Amino acid sequence: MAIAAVVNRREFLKTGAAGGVALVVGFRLSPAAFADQAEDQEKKPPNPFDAWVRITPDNRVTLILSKSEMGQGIMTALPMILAEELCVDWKQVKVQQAPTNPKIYDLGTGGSGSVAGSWLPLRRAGAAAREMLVAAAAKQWEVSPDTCKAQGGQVVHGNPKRYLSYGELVEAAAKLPIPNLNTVPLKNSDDFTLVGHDTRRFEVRDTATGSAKFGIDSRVPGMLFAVVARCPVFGGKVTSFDATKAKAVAGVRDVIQFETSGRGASTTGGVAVLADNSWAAIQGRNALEVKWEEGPAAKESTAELQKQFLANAAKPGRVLRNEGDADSALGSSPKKVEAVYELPFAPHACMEPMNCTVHIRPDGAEAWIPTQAPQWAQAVIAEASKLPPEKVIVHTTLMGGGFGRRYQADFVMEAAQVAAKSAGKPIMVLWTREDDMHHGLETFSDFDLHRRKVEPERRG
Amino acid sequence: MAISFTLNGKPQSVDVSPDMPLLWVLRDTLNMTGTKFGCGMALCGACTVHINGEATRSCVTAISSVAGKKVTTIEGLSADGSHPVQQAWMEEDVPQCGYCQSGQIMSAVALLSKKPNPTDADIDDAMSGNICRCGTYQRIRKAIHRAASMQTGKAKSAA
Repeated sequence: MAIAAVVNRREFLKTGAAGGVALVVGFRLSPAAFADQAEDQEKKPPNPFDAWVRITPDNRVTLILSKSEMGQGIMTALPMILAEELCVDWKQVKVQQAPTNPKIYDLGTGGSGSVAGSWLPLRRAGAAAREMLVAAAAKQWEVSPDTCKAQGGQVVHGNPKRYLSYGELVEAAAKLPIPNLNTVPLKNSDDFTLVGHDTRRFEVRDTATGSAKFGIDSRVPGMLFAVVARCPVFGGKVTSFDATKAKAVAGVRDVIQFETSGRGASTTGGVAVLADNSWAAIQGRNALEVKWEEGPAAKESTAELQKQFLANAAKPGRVLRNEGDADSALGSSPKKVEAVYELPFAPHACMEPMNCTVHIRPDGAEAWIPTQAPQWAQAVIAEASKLPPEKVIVHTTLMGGGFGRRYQADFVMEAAQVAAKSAGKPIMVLWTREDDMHHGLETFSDFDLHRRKVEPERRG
Repeated sequence: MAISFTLNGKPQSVDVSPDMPLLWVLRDTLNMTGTKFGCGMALCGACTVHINGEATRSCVTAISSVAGKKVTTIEGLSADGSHPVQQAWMEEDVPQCGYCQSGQIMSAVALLSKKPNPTDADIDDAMSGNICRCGTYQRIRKAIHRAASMQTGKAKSAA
C-alpha cells in the first residue's frame, strides 16, 4: 500500500494554505499512526518526515521547515534538499516555519540529526511533488510523462520547446495521486545543482540588517514583560513576599506568585514582576522582598560535592566491563599514570537569553518561543492553561543559540504559569543573564569527577 | 519628562525613567528590536549602537545621557541592507545564529569610520568586546577586510 498521506493533505489544504491553491505533499511517519501501513510496506520503516511543499499559482514556492533554526543552518539545508528534487530555482524559494500541529509534524530539533534524518524523506517528498507536476503537464499536453522534463520551476516538453510553470500546474497536480514514496525516482547525485554547492544562508539578510526575529523580539499588542524572582537555592520555595516596593517602580503592573510545577516540565516557582518594559520588570524584581525556604540543598556547595565525589570515586564502583585480569596486572609496570578529571557545572549560556511569550485566552493560547521542542512546548502550555493542545498555537522563532538548553520546557512552563494568572494579557517572561547562570537547573551540564588509573603494558 | 535625541537621522522623543537604559528604550518602548540584549552589563557587545558616531553599549547607557545626541542603530545603517559592512557580512555569510551580529556590525562600522584599512590586529583590538557564542570571528575579520576594500574602492572611484 502506498503511503499517500491523504488525511494530511486534506487537513493541510483546509488549515494551512495561506492564499491560493497549494500543492502539499506530506508524510508523517510516527510509528503508532502508521503501524498498520508499515506492515504493508517494506520491512524497514521510513524515516520520520514532516516537511511540506507549497506552490501558489503565481509560481512562488514555499518550503515548510519543520525543524528549528538555532545557528546550525537548517533553515537553508533542509529546503535545499527539497528544492533539489523538486527542481526549482533557489531564488524562487521561500521558507516558512511549520505550525505546531503534531498530527502533521514532528518538530523536535536536537542531537545533530536533522539533515541525516530528513535526507531521504525530504528527497522523496520533493521528488513526489515533481512527478505530480510532470504528470499534470503531460496530461494537459496529452503526451507521455516520460517525454517531459522538470527544470527551474517548470515542466518542459518537445521541440520546439513548450513550457508550463509549476504555478500553472499546481491546481491540477494537487488532485493527482501521490506516488509511492518507496519507488518515486530520485535524482542522480551527479545531477545535483543545489546539494553540495555553496548556498548562502537563507536568513543572512535578516541577521545582517537586524530584522531577524528571535524569540526575544516577539512583540504582541498589549503584552507585558516579566522577570521572575526564583529561590537562590535549587529546590527552595517562597515563604512570603512583600511587593509594596516593587509595585512602586514606575511601569510595574502586577506581581504574581506561582508554584513549583512538576507536571509537564519542572519549574522552580517564584514571584513574577510584570511591567510595561523589561527594564521596569528588572527594577521591580530588585525591589521585591521575598523570604525563601531554602530547603535541604542550602547546605550543599561545590566544595562539599567535590569531597563527596572524591570519596565515591575511591570506592569500587559499578563494573561496566571486565576483561582480562586488571587487578594482578596493575602494579607490574614501571610507569603509572593516575589522574582525577573534574568537569564543573556549566550553563549553556545561549547568546540570546531565555525567553518565552505566551498569550492565554479563554478560547485558546498562542505562544512565540525560541524552542527546539515546539510540540513539548505546546503540551506544556496546554497543561498550564487547561486548554486542549490543539487550541495552543506555538510559533517557533529563530534562536540565538540552542545547544540543547532550548530543548527543555522549563522556561515555557514558567511563562505559561505566569500567563495563566495574568488575566488574558500576553506575557513575555525574560531571563536576565544572571538568571541564566543561576537557574539553568537540571539543564546545566553536570559536575563530573573521574578517577583514572592507567599503566602501560610492558612489552618484550 | 520627555527626553529628546536624534535616532537614525530623525528626531525622537521618549517619556521614560531617566535611568532607563537606551537598550530597553529602543527595544521595548520603540519596538526597534535589531539591537540585542545579551548581558545587561556591557560584557558581550550585543547591544552596541553608535552615539555621536562612537560604538557604545546601550545596555549601560542611561537614556538621560543620550539627550541631544545622535543615536544610530542597526536599523539606521541602511534601509535595505546596502551598507558596505552589511553587504560584506552577507557576502562572507558571517552569521550563524546571528544574535550577536547587530552588535558586531555596529562595532565594525565604527572601526572602519576611524580606520578605513584596518589590520588584523586593529580588528581584533576593536572587536574584542563583541562576543560571538557561535565563534564566527574568522569570518567577521574577513568581512571587515572586504568592507574596507569596498569602501576604499568606492572612495577611489569617486575621486
